[in-house]
Amino acid sequence: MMEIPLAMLPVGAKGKITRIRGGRGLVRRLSDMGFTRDAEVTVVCSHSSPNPGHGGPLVVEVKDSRIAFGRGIAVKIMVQEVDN
Amino acid sequence: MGFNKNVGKTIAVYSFVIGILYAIFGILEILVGWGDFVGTGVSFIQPIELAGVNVVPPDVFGGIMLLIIGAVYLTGVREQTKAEREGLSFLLVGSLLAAVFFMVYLVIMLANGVGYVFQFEDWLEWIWLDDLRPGIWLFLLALPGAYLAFTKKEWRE
Amino acid sequence: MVYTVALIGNPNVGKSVIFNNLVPGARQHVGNWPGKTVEKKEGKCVHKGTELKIVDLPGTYSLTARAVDELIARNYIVEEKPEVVVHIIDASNIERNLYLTFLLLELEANVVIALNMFDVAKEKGYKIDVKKLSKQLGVSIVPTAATTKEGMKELKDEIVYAAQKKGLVKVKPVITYGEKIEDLIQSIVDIIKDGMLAQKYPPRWLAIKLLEKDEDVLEKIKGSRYQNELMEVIMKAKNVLGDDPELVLADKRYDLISTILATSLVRGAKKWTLTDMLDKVFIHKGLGIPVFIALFWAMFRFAYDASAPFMEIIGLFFEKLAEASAGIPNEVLASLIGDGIFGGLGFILTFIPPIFFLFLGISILEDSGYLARAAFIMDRIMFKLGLHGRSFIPMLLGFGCNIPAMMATRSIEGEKDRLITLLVNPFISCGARLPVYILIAGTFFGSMATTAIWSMYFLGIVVAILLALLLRKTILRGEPAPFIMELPLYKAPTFHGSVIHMWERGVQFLKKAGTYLLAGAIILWFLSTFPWGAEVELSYTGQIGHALAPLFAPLGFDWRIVASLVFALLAKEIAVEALGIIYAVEGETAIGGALLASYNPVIGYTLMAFTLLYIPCVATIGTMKKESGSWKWTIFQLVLTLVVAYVVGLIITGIGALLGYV
Repeated sequence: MMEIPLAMLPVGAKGKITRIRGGRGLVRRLSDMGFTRDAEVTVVCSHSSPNPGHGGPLVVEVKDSRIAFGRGIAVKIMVQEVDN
Repeated sequence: MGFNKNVGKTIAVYSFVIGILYAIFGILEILVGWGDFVGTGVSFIQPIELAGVNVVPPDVFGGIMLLIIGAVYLTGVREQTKAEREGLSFLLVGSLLAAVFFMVYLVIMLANGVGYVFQFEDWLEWIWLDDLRPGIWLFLLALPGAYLAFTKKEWRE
Repeated sequence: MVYTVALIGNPNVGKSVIFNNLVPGARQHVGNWPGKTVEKKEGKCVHKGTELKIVDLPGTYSLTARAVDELIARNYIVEEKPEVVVHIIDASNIERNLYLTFLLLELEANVVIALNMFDVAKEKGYKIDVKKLSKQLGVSIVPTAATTKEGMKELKDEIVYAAQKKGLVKVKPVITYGEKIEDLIQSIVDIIKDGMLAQKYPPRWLAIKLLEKDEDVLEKIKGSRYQNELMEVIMKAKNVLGDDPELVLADKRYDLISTILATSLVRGAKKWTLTDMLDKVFIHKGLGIPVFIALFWAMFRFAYDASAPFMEIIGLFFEKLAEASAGIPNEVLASLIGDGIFGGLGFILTFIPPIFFLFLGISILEDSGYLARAAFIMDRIMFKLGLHGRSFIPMLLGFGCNIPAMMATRSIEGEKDRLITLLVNPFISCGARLPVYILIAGTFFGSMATTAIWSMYFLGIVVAILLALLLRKTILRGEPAPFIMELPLYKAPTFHGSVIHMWERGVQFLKKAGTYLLAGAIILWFLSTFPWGAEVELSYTGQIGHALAPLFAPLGFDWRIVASLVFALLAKEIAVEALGIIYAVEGETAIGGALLASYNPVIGYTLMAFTLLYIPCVATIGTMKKESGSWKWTIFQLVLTLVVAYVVGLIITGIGALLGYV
């Protein structure tokens, strides 16, 4: 199945992380917070939009906690959409 | 009883009424306060008094805040008519905001009371009715909704 | 026998509540970690005849070398070797919290877990088999619900027990990472085990850090005789594991966590919680910002209006004190104490109520969990301004008082982001400047007075934004640190808790600001009262005013204005009184009249803008020094504000000239 950036998932959708495209610092930081390979994330709220350059931050639920981050990061987290 | 269509419709009507009331008084406060805000001293409406009570104080920003509270209540109406539980969020937050403003205005009234008791210069002519503003008594109308929103856990299923 | 106990945990797990439960407020000591701007809290308590020294480590998600607070926490554990490390875990969020536990076990710390927020987890429908979990981790676990003090006694019992047990039983690693990784770890351990480092630090931990290419540990092995051998193994590790060892280890830890939790945690059906409901509106696309505006406006209203009578009470108190000191026989002493200390300082201390109320409001918003959402909502706008989402709260607080605003920058992670926010904060028009605006605008601009005052607020915001962008493009170049933030569950703030918060911050503020204010008040008193008996113009302040006046001539300021600006360095609101003293008149109308007679409206407006923008008050300067930790940046801010004020003043004067005023 296709992998898409987390930023493109609509509200309520779930995804399984395949990889994180980013520098070592970012990847490590995110994994410390629970964004590891195969981790499941659910989009709680999105001010983002599929259009590049548009949209804002995201709130997702991962490993029992809610994490908010900017769109710049949301496009770097690649996921495979999972059916509810 | 869960959040079914009948309950939803009742809540929707309630939210609508409260929302409109907050919005109306918000607009009134803006209109009355406009003169002070732009410095011309001329407002669209003169302060409204009812039995000596300053019913609508001149307060542009205060009015905007009441409008915001009204907007929150009104936004939930649609989902409430469809008995979607997400609509309850708006009743919840609307009530929360109404309560916050109620408490703030009440505390200010009490503080003014302290100033009056000490007979400080700025408070010599103060009476408590001066501070009895929409932000306070509108909340009394919003109270039932607040109670239901916070306590009816079975509606959240 | 004193045992040292370190507290550690993720942010938002209730660590400070537990710290407060363990150490009564009076025995707490708040300072800074040496050489850093991160706050350090410690205190002593006694349990069952044993004395415990409790140290509160910064809240972190991990223990890498990359963030200051993580490094502080890690170094403390490894070098100070506390007898017990209490790892506070949020039971409702246990999966991610356990990650830190693994890291602590790697450090071979003597860990006791406080499974906090147990009540929240129960509400969420979680069932945790504490015994099983404890066995699988090899660590003792005490369930607690810190806000109701449940479990605190058991926790203290366990801490003392663990401290006494330490060193008697050799801790064997219960957690292992699979054959491939363990082989690599072993090969590194074999290389370093006889070396000096291995005597000081746990060898296994060193090995793991080296595999992860930890910057700090790599620094430590530089120049050692086995450096090359180690680098070889590290380089080869990537091939062996098929990916960056750091990532593989992180994945492995989480895999193990999942396995462990599979048998000890049962999650109930996913419930729609209060947090879900509230967030629907609080981070709503359309309503999020208006609600934010409403809440903050309510907070400011509360802070200013509810405190008004209390300000008068304090003012009255100091007035009486000043009057009483007139009776002191020694004239100079009477003046020093009456005018200098009670008069000057007292006037400023009247601003304590609004500041404390502001702190209370912020504490309530923070304790409830809302503040995190506010930062989130504002992030988008902040990003465009080259700032971090978390910069918004300090900017907003600045409208009340710059000092709590600057103290609030502590939650900003990126050093540069924090510095920029600190540097431009004073441009935001604080409450102290309002009396000055009211006086000048009321005098010169009649019916347009309110608009003139609003324009000052607007000007402050514009200048702050422009300067932030400028700094971002020049001296403090770089992208704002990535915005990643955990949104904690909403919690009803307890009155007790928020008041404690407010009190802590308020006292901190008073201690710092107070010292500068007292010193400043005395200095100013000296400068304006001496030479003794001389009138204002001939006093030192007057002399300074005259001396500097030529510099300010282009702006239309004469020695009187310059002198009052010098006075206002103590606290900007003093400018009003200062002008009164200088013109030898009392009361705002009289002062206004004197101003009207001496200056034109353009000079009036320039003065307003100058007051807004120039050097911040002494207390703010002191706060800047504390928060930035460096004189370099504090002085830079002094110069920056002065220059910006001057330039803007020139622009206004220039426009005025074009309009016909000279």
